[in-house]
Amino acid sequence: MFTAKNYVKVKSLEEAFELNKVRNNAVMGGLMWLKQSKKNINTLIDLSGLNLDKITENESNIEIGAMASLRQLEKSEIIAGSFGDYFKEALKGIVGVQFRNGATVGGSVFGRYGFSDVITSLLALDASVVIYKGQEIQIPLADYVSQKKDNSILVRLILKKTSCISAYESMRIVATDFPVLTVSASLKSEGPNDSKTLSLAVGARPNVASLLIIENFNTSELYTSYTQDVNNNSLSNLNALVEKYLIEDLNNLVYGNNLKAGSEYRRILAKALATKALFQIAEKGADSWK
Amino acid sequence: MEVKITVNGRPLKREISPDLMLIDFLRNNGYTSVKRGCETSNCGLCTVHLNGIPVLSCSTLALRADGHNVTTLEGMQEKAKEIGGFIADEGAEQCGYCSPGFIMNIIAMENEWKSENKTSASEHEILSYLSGNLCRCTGYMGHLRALKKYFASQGIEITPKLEYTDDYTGKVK
Repeated sequence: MFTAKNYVKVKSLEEAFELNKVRNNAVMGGLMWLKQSKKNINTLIDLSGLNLDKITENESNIEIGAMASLRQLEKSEIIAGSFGDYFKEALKGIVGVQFRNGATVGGSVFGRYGFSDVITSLLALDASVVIYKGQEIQIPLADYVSQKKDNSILVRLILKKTSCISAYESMRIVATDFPVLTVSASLKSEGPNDSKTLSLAVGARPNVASLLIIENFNTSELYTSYTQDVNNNSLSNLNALVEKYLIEDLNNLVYGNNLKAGSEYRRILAKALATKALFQIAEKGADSWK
Repeated sequence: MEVKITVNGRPLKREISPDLMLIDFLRNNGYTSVKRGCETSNCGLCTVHLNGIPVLSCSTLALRADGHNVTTLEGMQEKAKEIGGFIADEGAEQCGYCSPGFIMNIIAMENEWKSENKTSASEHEILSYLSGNLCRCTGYMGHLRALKKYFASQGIEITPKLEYTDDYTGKVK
């Protein structure tokens, strides 16, 4: 458990940023992970007075404040309006309702945790983050998670309201435990049937999630494979589709060993979860495709 | 630092250390229904309501509750006795240590369902909502039986079969 000498509920992003420049100060999100540390913190910086706990939308984007809880993300009608049950599926395995009421979206993203279902699910949706570093700067989430942590303040996440079908899969040895591997996939609706964009994120490798973009993904092949598999009660055709479009990129990712699983198992699992994600996408889009 | 938290309707103003967690604040002020369990934010024993929402008091800074309302089991005695009776009748309480946290989360679940005007739910939904409450003694089936009967008494029908999707086909069995 950490110790802290001081606590400040900041009144502005500027105040938070200046305080965070000081060594041994720390911004507190939901505290779930910080609590497990043994840090000796000088000043705890609390952002909860800055109204960053809202999920809002405009014509083109959905904005998720950094202090919005995972439970808010899960239950938001604004989010569901654009992405259906996607985040509900992605977040349901994270401990429990009480935990998700405390953990924040910003804390999950800032931490760049490999096990984070939040990062994996957001990456496939072409998310970007807004950070404060004297001024607000927007950068793609995929770039943000590959950067080292610094003293910038994570303000909000932005999701584009593009028409897409998304799916989330994860493998857990025990329900509500950290995942062994996570895969999220999002198929954009724009473009001709033989040339759509599929975004695939693979996380808990155990590294932080990586984003793969597959352009020219043939949705006619996807739905044909899906129909054949449903009729045959198998996944062999979708497996073949993954071999055709995704396997090279999936195999080029770095998979590692930890207590949960070995690298080779994760490599094989990535293909399996990608297949299941494509099954989900095809099932969700089947009506419109017909 | 000074903190003012309203606990079960009673305002408490105290001088505390900046790193004091809500569980310690509550227990230090006599609210010992709030139990310390895992210290890893997993078990749900320390569940309290912060402005009506269930949170883990072991992972909530007391200063974050400054100016807010906290409810513990001590502040929900009537409801707790009612739910506790159903739990006891089904043998779902052995050591009893998990019960306060369980009951707090059950009340939160009921409040959430009622705010959504829910008149029926599945066993799967109960197990999913309560997945953050761990019991080392019982195996949870007693809790499930108890809650089916309790919610029936509250006008919420619990569908009898476990609803789950077939992992292979993705279809609900």
